[in-house]
Amino acid sequence: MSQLEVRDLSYRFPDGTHALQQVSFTVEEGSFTVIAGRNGSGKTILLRILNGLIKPTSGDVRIEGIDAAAHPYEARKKFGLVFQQADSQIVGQTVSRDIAFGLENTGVSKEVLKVRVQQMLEMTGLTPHAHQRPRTLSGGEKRRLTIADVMAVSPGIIALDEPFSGLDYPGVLQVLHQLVQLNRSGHTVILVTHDLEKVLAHADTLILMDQGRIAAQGPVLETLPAAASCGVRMRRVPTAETIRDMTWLND
Amino acid sequence: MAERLIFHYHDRDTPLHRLDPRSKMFAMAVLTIMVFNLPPAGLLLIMLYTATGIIIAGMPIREYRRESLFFGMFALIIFLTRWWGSSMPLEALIGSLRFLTIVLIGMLMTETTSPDDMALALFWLLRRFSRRAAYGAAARLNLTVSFFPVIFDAVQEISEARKSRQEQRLRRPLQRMISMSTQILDVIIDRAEEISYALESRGFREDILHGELSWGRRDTLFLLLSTLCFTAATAAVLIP
Repeated sequence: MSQLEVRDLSYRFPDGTHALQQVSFTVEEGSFTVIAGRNGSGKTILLRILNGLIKPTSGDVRIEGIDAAAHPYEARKKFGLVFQQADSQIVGQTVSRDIAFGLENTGVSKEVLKVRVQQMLEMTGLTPHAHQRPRTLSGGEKRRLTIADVMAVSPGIIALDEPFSGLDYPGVLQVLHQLVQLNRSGHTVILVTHDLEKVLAHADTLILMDQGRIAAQGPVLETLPAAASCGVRMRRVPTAETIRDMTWLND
Repeated sequence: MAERLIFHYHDRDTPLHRLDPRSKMFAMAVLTIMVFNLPPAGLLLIMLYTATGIIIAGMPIREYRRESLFFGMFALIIFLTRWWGSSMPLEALIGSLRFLTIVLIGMLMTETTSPDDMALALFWLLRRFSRRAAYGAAARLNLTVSFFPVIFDAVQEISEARKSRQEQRLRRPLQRMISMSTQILDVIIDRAEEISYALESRGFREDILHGELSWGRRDTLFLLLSTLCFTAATAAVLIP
């Protein structure tokens, strides 16, 4: 059984517009999947359905065997979602209070909460900012905080919606480094972006979306030729020899 | 994102910030009642008490001035309409001072008390009547207070964006007001939707409160001081 199974997923807006049509794919444990496509291709709606925030018009989402539409609360413990706008997701008055928010909602004991918040601060390098107001953090730090928020409740899968948007070069490096570390420690990463060049060196699966449908999916190098027709352009298309050199990370 | 100051909680280390939210809520409730019921001498004492609080809380008064302009204008309207209606300028002045004092008390409360702490205090107050209703009221208060900055930021962003596009303030004011209100409403609804999804995604539950209350000696002292001030203000009523 795959960690995430999506079968014939469709979503129609109340005005009748189709946002998703017959979307099916699977994600394996420990993989790094990139979902790309032009604006309005249904990527954000797809993530919200996977997180159980929106009920699909038809189709089925199973996260580690749990039906996301029927048991959204349980599904969210397994599937953490980092929103595109960090400010929407940050609710705490300080960095550590913000990380604690999700844990408190799951009802963990105070001892566990304290340890887990400390772990997340260390993991994301935010310990020096623990008592700082989140609004005073930089873009990259805010994004790392939202990753810490989501990872605090230990989901097996972490999905990120355009995590590099609005970030400067150091900000992109901080976030990318974090994601690669998470993936190396065994977490499944799903990343929605149209900025393929930043992430392809680390991804193993690519899903291309166009007009609410999956246009192509599979291993990165095999799927990449279809990218241009889905509104995703790359300055240079990598080969098996050059793809690893595309990384933005030095290590 | 814009950084508005007014009606935002600011995490500072001052005696007022360290107080238990219940003592501040109690003081705020009594002050508000007294503002509306005391004659001018009592009102002046309450104003003095609130002003002392503002200084102790370290509120950046200069920065607040511009953002408080709206309330100043409103106080002026109250003064003019009451003066026009009653022909008694002193009574009109007291009316607008009462309004400004209430605004200052509200600013002091939101500046020094986090939304989480306000929710905890409200829950503590209402829990004896109905736990479920208390959770609901506390969660609603928390969300509402947390949402203030979003509204203020949206208003500021939109008004600055329109200004940068050469919008004339005095040209067709009614049309401008309608267009701007619609735009602000659109942005606020969008952000509210995004925030509600994010909260749901993070497992937000109405029946789980965040943080904890701790009543200390400083709270008892604060209540004693407040009672002293309230008594003095009430005595001012009795002394002819």
